[in-house]
Amino acid sequence: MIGFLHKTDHSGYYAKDRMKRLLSSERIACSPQTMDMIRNDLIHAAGKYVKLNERAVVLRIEGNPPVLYAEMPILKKKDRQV
Amino acid sequence: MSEAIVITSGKGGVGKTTTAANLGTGLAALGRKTVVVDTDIGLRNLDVVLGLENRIVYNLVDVVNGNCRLKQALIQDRRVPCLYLLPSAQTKDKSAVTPEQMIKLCEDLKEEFEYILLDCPAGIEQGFKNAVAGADKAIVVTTPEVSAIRDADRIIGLLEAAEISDIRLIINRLRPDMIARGDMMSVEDVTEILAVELLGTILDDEQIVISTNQGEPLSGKSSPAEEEYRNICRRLVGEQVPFISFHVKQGIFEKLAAFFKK
Repeated sequence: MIGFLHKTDHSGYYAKDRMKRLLSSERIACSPQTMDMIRNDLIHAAGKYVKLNERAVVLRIEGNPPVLYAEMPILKKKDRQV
Repeated sequence: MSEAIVITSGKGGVGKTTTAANLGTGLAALGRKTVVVDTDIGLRNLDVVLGLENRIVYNLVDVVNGNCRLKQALIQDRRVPCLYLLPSAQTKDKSAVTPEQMIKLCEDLKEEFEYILLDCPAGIEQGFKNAVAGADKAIVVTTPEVSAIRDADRIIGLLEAAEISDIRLIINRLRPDMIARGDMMSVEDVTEILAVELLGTILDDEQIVISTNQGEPLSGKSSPAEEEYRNICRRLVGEQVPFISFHVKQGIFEKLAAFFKK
């Protein structure tokens, strides 16, 4: 991003970026409810092997084609069950 | 082969009814027997835009309920004899008609008319479902603004889910001066975002207000918007008509800025 091209100078370019990002997540029909279910499943799956800071787990969908990103802060590795 | 085309947008106020009226008039002017159907039950507008508001006796709800024959409800435009209007009801609401009734209505209309244009109400609920039920194809109308584009994208998804695969886009109220300055999304931007085939690009044009005031679509003398509506009609009947290229001259700074922004 060139410094002097502030978003308010060329709002049309900014709008296009916003639309592409917004629509790529809306198109895969990931409602907030679905995202919550994916989040819970991921916490459950990873939680079998590591202790997670569950409240800090964040999911987002970005890009075109859409990619699901999960940020899952780990508190410590769980002791292996023998 | 008759075609039933739904004109929809999701967002209200982007130009669906205006488009239905102008395309109906244009197709009829090309000699194609055309009916425009106002499916906005409770908020009818197509009659007013066409200047036919004083000639309504029966309406769409009367027809589907069997209160009258279809022929009695159809209003022929005396200015453009190939054009007919099936008006909506002003005093009912969207629950007065079902999708099944709309399918039957479109089948009946196809026996009489070459083109059936279904003016769809804003929204995605019963009104939309009614309007798309009998349609074979869709025209999505949008403006180059974030809210209209977002709603258009949703509508495109719903049309695909309703198994309407022939979906084409009209971008309305374009302002070339704003596009050149980078303050409005361009035709290329909008078609890239929505990824459907472009049917037409309508400039923001005072003549549309004037023609609507007079209840006479396509009556302007030299109106770029009306010219494009005519071009769209020609494309609908299968002619290849090039898109208008409108470029406002860019200064050297704007050209450099646009180059770096890419």
